[in-house]
Amino acid sequence: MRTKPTAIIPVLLLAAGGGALLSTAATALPTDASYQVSGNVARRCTPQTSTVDVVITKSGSGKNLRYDFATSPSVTISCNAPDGQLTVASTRLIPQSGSTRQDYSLTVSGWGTAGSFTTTAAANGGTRSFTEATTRTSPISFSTSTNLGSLFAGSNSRLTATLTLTVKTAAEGTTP
Amino acid sequence: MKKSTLISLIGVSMIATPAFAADPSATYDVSGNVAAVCSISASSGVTDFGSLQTSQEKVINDTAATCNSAGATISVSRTNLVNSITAADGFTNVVTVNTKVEAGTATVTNNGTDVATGAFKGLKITATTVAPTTTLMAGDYTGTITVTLNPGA
Repeated sequence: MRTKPTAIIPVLLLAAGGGALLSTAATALPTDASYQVSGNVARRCTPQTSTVDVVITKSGSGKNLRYDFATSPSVTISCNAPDGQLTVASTRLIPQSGSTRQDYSLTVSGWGTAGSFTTTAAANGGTRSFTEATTRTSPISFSTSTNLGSLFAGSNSRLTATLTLTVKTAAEGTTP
Repeated sequence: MKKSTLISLIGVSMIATPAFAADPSATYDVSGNVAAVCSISASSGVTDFGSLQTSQEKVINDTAATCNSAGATISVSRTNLVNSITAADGFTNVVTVNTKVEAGTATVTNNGTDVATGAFKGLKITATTVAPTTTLMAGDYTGTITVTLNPGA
């Protein structure tokens, strides 16, 4: 009967050890790490070069004489960075019959400030550049100027010209 | 009197025990423990996909990542690659990144919740960018893949 107190001592020690084990396992916490990934997209415009054949027709007569695109040229350009530059170049008009080339004026709008230029015999055509300050995708519109009337002669009611559009950003191919 | 008697009895029994033991051996139980832990460092720096105009795949091997518990689990979250420049109308400044993380017996993808791995050492992350269907804004893109290891109970 008097030995009971001595037997209690190891029991208490075991209980304390068990508590320590449980406590250690419970403190293991989730751990995380972040992996950084990166990439880049270069300044780019599309289409970089585009060629469009335009056909201009004469219709009506007298005060109703009109000169129009047979089919309105349709070109959409896009630049993924500001300050994309569009350059439009045109050949002189080539008549359906005969070989005498004629000059004309072309107005371009939809990229930067609209503007026009006139082809010349000396340059065998004409060119003008337009700069768009913002990043954008835009259809480009073309129209002929009103002074075309003086260019048409005889039975040449249908003339063609080739437009070449070149688009690029200020630092094409580089990352901003 | 009672206290002195008790002390005397204890003293006698401690001294007397070896003299009466038939087998002079004893067994001592020893024990220890190893806490369930995981470690991961992500010390591999920035993984660069280069041009994002087409789909790209990169593999990140983290050989130091480890969990020592059979009850360990893994989860992953990721942010897509994003350009800090605001996207203009008709453009995008986000490139989708798909992730797959393999560790131990587990494979977890994208923003996957906890998957059991068992004890393991080393993990492999495969990250794949998705080719854009909308024109991307020019510039630099960054994203993050976060792997969480849980040692379990």
